Amino acid sequence: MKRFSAAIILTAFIIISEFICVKYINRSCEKYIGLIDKCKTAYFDGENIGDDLEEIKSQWEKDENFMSFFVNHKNLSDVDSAIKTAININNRKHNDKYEIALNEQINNVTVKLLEIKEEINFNLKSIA
Amino acid sequence: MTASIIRTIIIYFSITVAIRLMGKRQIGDMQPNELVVTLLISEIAAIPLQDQSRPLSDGIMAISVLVVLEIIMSVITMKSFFIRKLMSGQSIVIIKNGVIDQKAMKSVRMTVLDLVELLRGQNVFDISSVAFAVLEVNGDLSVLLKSANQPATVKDVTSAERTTTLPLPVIIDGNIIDETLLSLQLNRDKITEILKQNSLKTKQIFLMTIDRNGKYNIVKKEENGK
Repeated sequence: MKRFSAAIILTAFIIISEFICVKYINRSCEKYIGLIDKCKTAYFDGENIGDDLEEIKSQWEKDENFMSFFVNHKNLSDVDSAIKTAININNRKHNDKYEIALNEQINNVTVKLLEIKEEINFNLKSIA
Repeated sequence: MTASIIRTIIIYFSITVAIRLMGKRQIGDMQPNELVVTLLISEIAAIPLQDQSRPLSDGIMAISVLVVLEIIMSVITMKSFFIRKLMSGQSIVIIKNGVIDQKAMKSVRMTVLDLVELLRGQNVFDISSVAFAVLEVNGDLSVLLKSANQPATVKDVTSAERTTTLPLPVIIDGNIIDETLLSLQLNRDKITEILKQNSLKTKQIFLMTIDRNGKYNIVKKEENGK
């Protein structure tokens, strides 16, 4: 009976952890995808997105710590380095070549975030 | 480096708790499903320790699921004789009255050398001295020697005759085992009659064994599972 109670508690722990983890990761990824989209719109409107990117970076550094309990650390580092590269490119002198690279890095952040979301969510591909 | 040490400590305690929850058993006493779970736990625990980029929750979650599965399976196998037979197999008589059952040996893929080795482990060097040898589900061989080959006790000295038969379980956890009844050439009516004599019902029995001489032993279920 004692072992059975332990199994019930453990099952509850697994279900609750999984639920919290999936919800938290999805919410965080959606938040950053939204912020990146805003940045992109501002960038195409000709605004300087340096401050926005810095804000995203500082928020990401806070959230990344908790996310690292559930998400592969390599994927988190990929997002981190894509944000930092985008900031670096933005700080340099603007010309066509830099604009293409910046656009590419901003898109890269979105792609990496979508990858994290796909990895954490339940689907047939993840079982196979 | 520090992270690696902390991760190892967390995994160590997680596995200790997991093994503790699964119960105490020596490797040799494990049922097949328990062995599978133990092997899987050791493999899963190694992954987050070797690969620092993998989150610890990957390992801890997988270990927790295995522990839950193991506990659920142990409860089910305790309640159902059929599931227990399916998951763990059943013991098989290899030697009956000094004669090796070759068909039984073939079914468990056991060679004569294996059998002789197991018998030697039980201090038996002559197969003809064995009354019954049963291969248990965990791979152990239980041997019952013929009366003439058994060491004498005070009871033997005082009694005129002694016969050796293997007591077989006919009721396990309130369920009558028809296969055993068949091998003992008994029927359910006979069991009911014995139980009636003892003012008992089948559901009240935890274990009942009978040998070929009709000698039986009854272990009643404890009240409220205590």
